[in-house]
Amino acid sequence: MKKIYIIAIAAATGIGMLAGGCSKDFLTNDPTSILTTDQVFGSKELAFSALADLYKGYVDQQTITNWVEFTNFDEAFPSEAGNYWRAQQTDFPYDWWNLWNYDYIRNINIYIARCSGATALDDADKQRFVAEARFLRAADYFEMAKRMGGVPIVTEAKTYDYNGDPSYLQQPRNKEAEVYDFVLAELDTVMQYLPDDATVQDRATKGLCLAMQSRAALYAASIAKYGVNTPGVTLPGGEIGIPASQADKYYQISRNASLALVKSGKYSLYMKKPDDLADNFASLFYDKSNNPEVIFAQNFKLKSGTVEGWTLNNQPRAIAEEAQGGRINPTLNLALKYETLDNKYTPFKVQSGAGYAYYDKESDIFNNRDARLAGTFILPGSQFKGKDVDIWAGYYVPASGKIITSTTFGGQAQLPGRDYKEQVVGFSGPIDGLEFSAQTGFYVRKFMDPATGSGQIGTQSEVWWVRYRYGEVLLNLAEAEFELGKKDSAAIFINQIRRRAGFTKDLTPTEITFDRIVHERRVELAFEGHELFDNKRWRIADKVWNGQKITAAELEAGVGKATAPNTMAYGLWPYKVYDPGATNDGKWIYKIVKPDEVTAAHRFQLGNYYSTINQDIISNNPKIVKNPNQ
Amino acid sequence: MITSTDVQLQADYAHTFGKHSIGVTFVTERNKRRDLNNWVHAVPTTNVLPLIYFSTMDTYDDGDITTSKIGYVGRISYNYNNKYYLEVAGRRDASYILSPEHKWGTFPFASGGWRITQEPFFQRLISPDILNELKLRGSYGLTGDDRNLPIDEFSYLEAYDYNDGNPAILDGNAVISSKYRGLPVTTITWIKSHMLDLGLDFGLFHNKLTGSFDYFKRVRSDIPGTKYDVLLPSELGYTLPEENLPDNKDKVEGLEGAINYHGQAGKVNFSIGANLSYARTYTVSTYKPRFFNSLDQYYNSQEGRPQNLDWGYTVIGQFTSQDQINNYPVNIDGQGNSTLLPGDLIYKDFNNDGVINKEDTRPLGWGGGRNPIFNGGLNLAASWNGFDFHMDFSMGAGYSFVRDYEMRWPYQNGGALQEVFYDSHWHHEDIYDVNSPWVAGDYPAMRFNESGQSNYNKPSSFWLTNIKYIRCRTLELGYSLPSELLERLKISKARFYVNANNLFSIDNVHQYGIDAEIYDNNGLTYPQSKYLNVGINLSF
Repeated sequence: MKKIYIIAIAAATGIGMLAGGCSKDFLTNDPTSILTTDQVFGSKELAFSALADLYKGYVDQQTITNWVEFTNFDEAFPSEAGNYWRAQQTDFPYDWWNLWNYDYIRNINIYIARCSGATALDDADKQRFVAEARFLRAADYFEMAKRMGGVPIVTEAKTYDYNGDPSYLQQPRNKEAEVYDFVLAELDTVMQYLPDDATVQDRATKGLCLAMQSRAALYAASIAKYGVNTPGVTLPGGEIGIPASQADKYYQISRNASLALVKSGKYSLYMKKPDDLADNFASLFYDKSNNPEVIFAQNFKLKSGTVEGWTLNNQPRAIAEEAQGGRINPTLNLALKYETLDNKYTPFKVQSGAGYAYYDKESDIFNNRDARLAGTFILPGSQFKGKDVDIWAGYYVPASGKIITSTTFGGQAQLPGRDYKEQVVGFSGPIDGLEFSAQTGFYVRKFMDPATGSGQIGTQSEVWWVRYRYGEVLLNLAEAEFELGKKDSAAIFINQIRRRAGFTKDLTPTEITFDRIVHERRVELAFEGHELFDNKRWRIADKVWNGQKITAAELEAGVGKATAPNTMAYGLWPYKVYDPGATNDGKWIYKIVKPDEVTAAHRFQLGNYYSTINQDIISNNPKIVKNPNQ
Repeated sequence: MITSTDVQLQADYAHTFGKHSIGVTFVTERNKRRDLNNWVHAVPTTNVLPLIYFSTMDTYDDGDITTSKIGYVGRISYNYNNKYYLEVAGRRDASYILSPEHKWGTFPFASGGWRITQEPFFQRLISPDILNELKLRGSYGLTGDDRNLPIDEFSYLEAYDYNDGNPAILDGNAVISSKYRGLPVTTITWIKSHMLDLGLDFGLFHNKLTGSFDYFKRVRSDIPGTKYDVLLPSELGYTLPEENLPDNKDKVEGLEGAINYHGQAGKVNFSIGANLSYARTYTVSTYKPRFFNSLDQYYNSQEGRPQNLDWGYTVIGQFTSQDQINNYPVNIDGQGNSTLLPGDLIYKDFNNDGVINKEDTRPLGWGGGRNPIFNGGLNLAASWNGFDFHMDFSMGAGYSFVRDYEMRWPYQNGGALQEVFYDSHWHHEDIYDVNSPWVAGDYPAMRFNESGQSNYNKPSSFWLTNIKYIRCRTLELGYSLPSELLERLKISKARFYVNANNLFSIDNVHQYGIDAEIYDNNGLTYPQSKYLNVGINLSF
C-alpha cells in the first residue's frame, strides 16, 4: 500500500518535470513588447524611440487636437450641444489650466541620465538626444511657469529610500523669475548641440531655442512690468511675481534672441501665394513642404495612426464628409478686429440710414479688409475645398419685414407668391441652437486641411500644429523694441507682418502703442493658443473678461483697445433679400446677433492668473506655498 | 489565436478496510497559454470589396502574450462507514504574473461531513421513508487570487514599453515610441481568499424531493493598496507602488438554496426545481481609515459597509401650487426656490438647515451597475405521450437603477422625449396661457434640456427604481413521433419543437422602455433579444 503511494508521487512529479522542464523557466516568459533599459540605450534607434515618447509629452493648452479649448474665451463659440455650457459659465474655475506634471519631468530626467551615461551610443547622437530632452524639459518648465508661477526645479530623478519618512525629499517652489532664468539658461546651453537647420521643423533646433527664448523672456518681462497692475497677484517669496526692476533685462534678452534668429536669415515669412494673400495666410499653416516660416510644429502623418481631427471637427456642415463638423464658430468679436486696408478699425456696415445695408454679393461686406480675416475665417459666401460653404440664415422679405427660414440644415419653406417650397436656409446654417451650424455665421479656416478625406473619421489630417513660427518672433521683437522705447524699430517689424496681410500703408512709429502691439498679436496669432497666456502676462485678462455683459455697440467701440471688455460671443448673419421686381431682390443684408446659447459674460478673476495647486500636492509636500487664490 | 497547453497528472490511491475508507490524491497541473493577436485597420478606397490591402492599411497591431501557471495539490480523504467524512488538502500555486520572489503561495483546505441519516438514533427519530438523506457539511480553505493585481508580468523589471500609443512624427517619419514603465514593483504577492462554506444536502420521500442549503462567506485580505500616510512629494514624479495591505479586506457573504421535486401524475412525468441565492459584497476594513470629522466619516467611510452604495436625495413629494412653493421654508434649488414650478420635486431636508445640499444625501436603494443581490431560477418540465415541455425562469432583485440623462430630463441635449414624461406631466390647462390653472401629472413640468434644474441635477429617490424581475428565459414544447410509426418510415427519431428565448419579463421598469438587466443610466443599452425557433429533429 505504502509502496504504491510512493511510486504514484514519483511518477507524477517525474512526468511533471518532463512536461514543463524547470518551473522557473516555465513561469518566466520572454517579454514581447517590453525593452530593458540596457536594450533601449544600447542602440541609436531605440534611444531615439524613447526620446520620441518624450516628444509626445509636450504640453499645449489650446491645440488643434483639443478644439474645445478655443471656445472658452472670445475667439470662438462652441457649436456642439455638449459644450454650450462654456458660453453659459461666468467664472473660470481656479483650477483650470493647472499643470504639475512631474511624472513627465521624471521621465525626462531619467532619459538624460541614462542617455548621457550610455556607452553604446555615438557622442554626436548622444549629445543631440540629450540636448533635445533638455529642451523638452525647459519647454515643460516654461509651460508650468505660465500656469502655476514658480515651481520646484527638479533636474534629477530621485527615489525614496523607504526609511519611513520621505520628508527629506521635499523641495520648495523656486521663484517665478528663477524658473524663467532656468528655462533661458538651459536653452542657451542646449542650442549649441542642436542642428542649426530650418528644415528640421518637428524636432528641436537652434532656431527653436531662440524662438522659445524670445517668447519666454517676453513673458518674464511683461510679468515684471505689468505686475503693478495686479498687486494682489504676488507672493512674498517671489513664487509669483517678478520685480519690476527686471523688466528691461528680460525685454533685452527677448530682443536679443529674436534678433539673432532674424539675423540668421534661416527663416522668413511665408509668401508663396502673393496673388491671394488670404489663401497665402491659410497655406502658411497647412503647407508642409519647404515652409520657411514654421520653426517648430507637432507633426502628423496620414496612415500612421498619428493624425488629427481639426478638419473633421470643424468642416463646414454643408460640405462635410461626415454628418458632423462646424464645431468652432469664430466670433464677430474677433472678425471686427481685422482692419480695413486703410489701417482703420471699421465695423461691418449692416445699417444704411434707417434701413439695412444691401450688398450685391454675400461676401462683399468683407471686402477691402486685412487678408488675415479671410485667411483665418471661413466667411459666408466663400468656398472650402472648392465648394460653397452655404452659410445664410434665411430670406428677408422687405415687403413685410419678415424673415423666412427653417430650423433644419438647408430646410425648405414657401416664399410669398410662390407655389412651391425651396431652400430657405444654408446647409451650414446659421440656425440658433443647432449644433454644427455656424451659429456666429462663421467657421474657422486656420489649420483646416483642404485635402480630400481630411473630414473623414477614417482618414483625418496630417496638417501640423504650429507651435513656433517666424511671424510670432517678429511680433515678439516688435513688442520688446516697443517696451524698450525703440518705436522705430518696433514699427519696422510689425509692418513686415502687416504688409504680408495686404496693408500697403505702413504704421508710423508714433502709431505704435501698447494697444497696437496687443491688437496685432490677436489678429495674427488667433487660434494659435496665445490669447489666454498673452492676456495673463500683460495682466489685462481681468479687464478683458470682467464679467460685465456687453452690447454689440460696446464691442465695436472697444476694438483696438487692449483692455476693452470682450466677454460674450456675437455673430454676424447673412440673409438673402426676396423682393421680386425690386432692385434689391437677390441682394444680401446682414444682422448682428448674439447666439441664444450665449448667456453668461466671462469673468477672469485675479485668482485665475495662477491656477490652484491641488491639495494633494500641498499635502505631499508642505513646503509648497499656495497660490493667492487658495 | 490562442494556444493553450494544459498538463495535468493525477495519482490516486484508494483503499477500504472494514468500515474505513481512505483516499489519497496527488495532482500536478501546468498551464501555458499563448495569445497571439493581430489587429489591422485600413482606410478603404472602395466599399465594394471586402478585403484589406497593404496600401490602404494605417494600423497593424501585433500581440503575443504568454501566461503560465503551475499548481501542486495533495489531498487525503477519509470516511467512516459512509457516515463521517474528513478531508485535508493543500495546494502550492505559482503564477507567471508575480515577481520571482513572490511566485509561490501555499494554501490549505479542510472539510468535514456527517450523514446524519445513517445514524440509527436519527432513523428512529425520523423514518428513512420520510427523510432518506440528510448530510451536514462544512469546509474552510484558503486560496490565492492573482487576478486584478496592480502589476503585469514584467513590473519587477526596470524597462520600457515599446510601441506605446501612436507613433511620434519626427523628421516627417513615424517613430515608434518607447515609454518608461516607471519604478519596478517587486512587493506584490497573492491576495488571500478565506472561504467558509456550511451546508446541508437532503432527500425526502426516496429522493422525490431533494435539495441543498448553503451559507458561505469569502473574506479577501491583503488586497493591494497604497499607504496613503507615507507622503511622497509629487515633485518626485512617481507615487508609492501598491503593496499587499493585510487590513485591506472585503467579503462576500450569502446564502443559497435549491430544491427539486420529481413526480408523476397518471402518464405525466413532471419536475419542478427552484433555486435562490443571496450574496452581497462588503468592505470589511481598509488601511488606517482616517476622517476629518464625523460627517466626513459618515459620508466617506467604507468600513463594514456594502460596496456599490448609491447616495442621493430623498423626495417626499411634489409641489402642488405656486403658493406652496412661495411659502416653503426649505431652499430646494439653491436659488430661493425661484426656479420651481408646481410639480417639482420636494427633497427632504434631513439636517433641518433649511437648504438642500450634499449633507442631505443618504444611501439609496441597493446600489446600481452591479449584479442583483438576490438571484433565483425556476424550472418546470413535464412530458406526456411523446409531448415534452419545459420552461425556465430567472429572477433578480436587490439592485437599483437610477434614471439619468435621456431617462431623466426632457429633450436631453436637444434630443427626444421619454414617453412617460409626455403621458403625464404637470402643465397649464392651456399651454399658451401662463395664467390658466395647473393640471397635475406624474412628472414635473417639462423644461427644454435643462439638466441643471433641481429636479434633474441630483440623483434622488424619485429617479431610483429598486428593480425586481422574473424573466422567462426559455420555453420549449416538443412532440416526438411514436416509435411504431417511425419504424415504418425508417426513421430512428423525429421530433417537432417550438422554443422561445426571453419570451417575456415581468418587471417594474418596462414602463420606461428599458430592459430590467441593463445598467447604463441613460437607458442606451441594447436590450436582450427575443428568439423564437421552430424546428424538426430527424435522425435516420
